[in-house]
Amino acid sequence: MSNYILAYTKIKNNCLWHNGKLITESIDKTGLNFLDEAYKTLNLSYPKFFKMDALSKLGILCAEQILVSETISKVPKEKTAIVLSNKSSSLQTDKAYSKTMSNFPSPSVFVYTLPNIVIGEISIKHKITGENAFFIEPVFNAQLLHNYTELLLQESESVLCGWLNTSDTTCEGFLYLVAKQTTSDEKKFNFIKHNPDSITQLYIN
Amino acid sequence: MENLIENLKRQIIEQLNLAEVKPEDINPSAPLFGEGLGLDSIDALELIVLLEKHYGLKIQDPKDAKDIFASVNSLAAYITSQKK
Repeated sequence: MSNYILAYTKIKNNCLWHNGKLITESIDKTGLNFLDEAYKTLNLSYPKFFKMDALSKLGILCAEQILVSETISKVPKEKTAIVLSNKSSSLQTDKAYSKTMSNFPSPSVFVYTLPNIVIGEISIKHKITGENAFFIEPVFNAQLLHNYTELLLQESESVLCGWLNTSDTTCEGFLYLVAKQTTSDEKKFNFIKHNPDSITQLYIN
Repeated sequence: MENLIENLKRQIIEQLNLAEVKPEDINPSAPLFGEGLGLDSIDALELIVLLEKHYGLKIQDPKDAKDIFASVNSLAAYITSQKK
């Protein structure tokens, strides 16, 4: 058994890619409306989505593509861990909450003023109950994600990993699922070996 | 009262970000929590903010909140009673 990347999803420049295939894109290349547009295009039925901040919406959209696929839905959720990272923490939501404080502080905005809330939202939606961690890094750090994931895979069966970053005008998401698989599965399903180089290649391309 | 109920429906949708709900979808006598709109504890806090922001009302006794927030109708009845 070795550790492989089973699937990956990217959201960048208002495009959503899954395993290298373009799933949806927005003609309007400005703003964060893409997240709401993608939700509708993908026909998701999860009304709570609209109550979330942009970081959680980004995480939900990326995770949805990965976790509902037929091959991966068999991975036991109670043994799935989540390791995420970004640069801006929850700054965008922190600023939004700060604005409400001068008038009527918003409880529903306040609950998103931590970056790891997105892990909770993904876990609730997909009933994931494994270990989790969220790292704040100046840039995408494949080595850190790889090392932490390898450590978790000593106890877990799979790990959802990646980078979710939002600002006032843009968002960038890259999630991938790593799991223990046999070499025959690697060839059958075109799984990708889990190492810092392969993670970096998927992130860049 | 009818205008107040319609206003409340719009304000609830806006305050609670119920993007997929239209005013006509809300049954004013249906429970707001548990079933009906399926609101949660954070939504309850937002309803408290809504009452203060739009109607200048603060619920004095927290024990009354359950009855006040039972439905749009009960919310409207509370607002009306406080305006007298």
